[in-house]
Amino acid sequence: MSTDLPSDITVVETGDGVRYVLPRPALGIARMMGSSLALFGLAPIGGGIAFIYFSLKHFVRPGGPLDVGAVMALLCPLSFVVIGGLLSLFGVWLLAGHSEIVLTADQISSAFRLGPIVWRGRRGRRHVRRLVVERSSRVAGPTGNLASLFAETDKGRPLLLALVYSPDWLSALAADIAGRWSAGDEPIPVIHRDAGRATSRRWRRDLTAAGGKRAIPAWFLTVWGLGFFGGGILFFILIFQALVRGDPGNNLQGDFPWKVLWILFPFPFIIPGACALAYVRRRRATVGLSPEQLKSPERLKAVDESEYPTVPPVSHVPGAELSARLTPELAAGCGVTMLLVVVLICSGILASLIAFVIDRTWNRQWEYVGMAGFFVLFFGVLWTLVTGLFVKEWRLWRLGHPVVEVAALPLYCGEECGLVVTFPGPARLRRLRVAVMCEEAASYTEGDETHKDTRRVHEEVLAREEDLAIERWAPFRLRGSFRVPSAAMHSFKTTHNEVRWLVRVEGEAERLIPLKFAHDFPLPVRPCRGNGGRT
Amino acid sequence: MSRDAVTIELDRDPPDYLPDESLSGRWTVAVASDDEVRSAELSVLWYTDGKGEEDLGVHHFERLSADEAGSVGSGRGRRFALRLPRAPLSYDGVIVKVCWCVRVRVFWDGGESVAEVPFRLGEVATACEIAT
Repeated sequence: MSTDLPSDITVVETGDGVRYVLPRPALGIARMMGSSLALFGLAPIGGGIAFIYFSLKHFVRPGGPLDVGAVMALLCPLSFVVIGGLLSLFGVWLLAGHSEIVLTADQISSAFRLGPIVWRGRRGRRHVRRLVVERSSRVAGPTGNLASLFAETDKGRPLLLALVYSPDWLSALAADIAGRWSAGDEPIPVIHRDAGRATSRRWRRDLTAAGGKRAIPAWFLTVWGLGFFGGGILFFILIFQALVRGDPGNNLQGDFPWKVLWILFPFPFIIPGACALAYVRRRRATVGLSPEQLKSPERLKAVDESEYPTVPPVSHVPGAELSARLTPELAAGCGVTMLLVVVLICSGILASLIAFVIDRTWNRQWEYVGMAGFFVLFFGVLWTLVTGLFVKEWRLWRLGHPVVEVAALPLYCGEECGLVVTFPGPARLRRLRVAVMCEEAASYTEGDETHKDTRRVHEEVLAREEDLAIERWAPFRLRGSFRVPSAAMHSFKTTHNEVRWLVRVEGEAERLIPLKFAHDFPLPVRPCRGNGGRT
Repeated sequence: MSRDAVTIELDRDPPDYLPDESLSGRWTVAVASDDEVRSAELSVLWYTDGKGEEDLGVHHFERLSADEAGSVGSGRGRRFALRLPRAPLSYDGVIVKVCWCVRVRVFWDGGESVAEVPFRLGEVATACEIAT
């Protein structure tokens, strides 16, 4: 055992291993979080119970085997009660609970205890690849010094061992666990990282022979697909028959013609089931093939005949001054329009609900007020979020979008290219920067989460302005040229990895609330001409 | 049969190639009996390394049946030659790397053996991260 193990951890030697009894999370931020969560969890519990009570009193009536709507009407609010209960429970655990880690020769397990309530998890020793101390944030603040400890595997979810402790404290604990577990066996590495940002992907390389990621078994998909598809078809036939006969037993809720909508109910079962069966059928054709044969040009139906299949094309239109005008990654106004539609829908629903609540309050029908108030709360939060996004996009759209034109497309490494950048007015900018840059982007999966990381490997600044006033009749205009180095990597794009060249126009507009913006214009860059004797 | 039983030799040393150039070499399988080999595959491919999930692209693929693969055993060997593509070039980036190799996969009774020889395509310099 390490002598650096924090003194407030109680270590109990058992017959087949060791148990770490961790103290309660430190007071301060943890106590504040606990109190907040315990109280916040009461809101969905109250809303859910009110909804269940209301449904039982007014809607749900025993209606036969097809009365699925009644069950759904109870299951939805029940999920709110469960989620709220878990939130409150977690908050109370932060205030009064503690956790334990048990280490044996074969497995590691964790137990979060709150009186008689215990939440357990375990992982086999042969599956655990590393211990990870994950800091919640690097940003200075109350949560900046909190971290969690995980036991990560190459398949399945990582096992949470401890949370809401300081990174140094958890590092000492992780080192002690790794030291005990590594004795006479493959060592367990301890890695540190920030939440959502992995430090290394090298662990993929040291997979054990049996530790590789396995696909979902075909038999499971087949059974699941047949179950969903068959069940959906059965529902469809039963509902169809009932509708054709006019639903004499009134098993389907509602009155005609709305009752006909029940015919849509089986499709959420039929479609996923059919997709699973189609996937299994397609996968059978690839069983036994090597990874190279799967990707061989003969097997790929849509063979890319272009000379540079991994250099992605970019969309462009003819330019006014130079040969091509680059189009931005997201068309101007597209995001604003989509968000406006969502805001209008949310506003309509919210206004109707508020009107309903006011009306029922006026008539002192408190049951309706409770239920509708719950939905007002839900849509109110949604409306606030969507409106915030819309306002941001709207401000960017009002500011105006730059226009970038280049003299030649595609570009080749080692060649110079002319460029014109125009920024419309009127606008007052605190700063404006135009640069040609090359970025690497990689996406990877850890546990169940997919992350994306980006690194900049080349940058040529073409313009850097500060306190810039752009008039309507005199837009900002930059005419220059840039050269992609001959030894630089060309544009490259595959499913998970990308090397992208782009022109970035970024800055900050002077407003009451400063508005930062960044517009990217992708450039297709090909390898040097002349390699291999070609010109 | 072990991984060492498959041998790949390129005709150029060091194995640095330019786009559109010809790549040639020879591969052999050392087995006690030709009957052991069921089939074999020769691939010239690129794959990505680094932080992201691995992507793979096959430029040339050749599958040999039991009879053809058997003739490769016992040190007799088999030659290959092909023209390399123009992209992607070999790249040693910060979080994205593109590696080229010739890979031979031999299927035999009870298992398979894989051997590969890396080579470099193009003259792209090693990348360094720029602080943002």
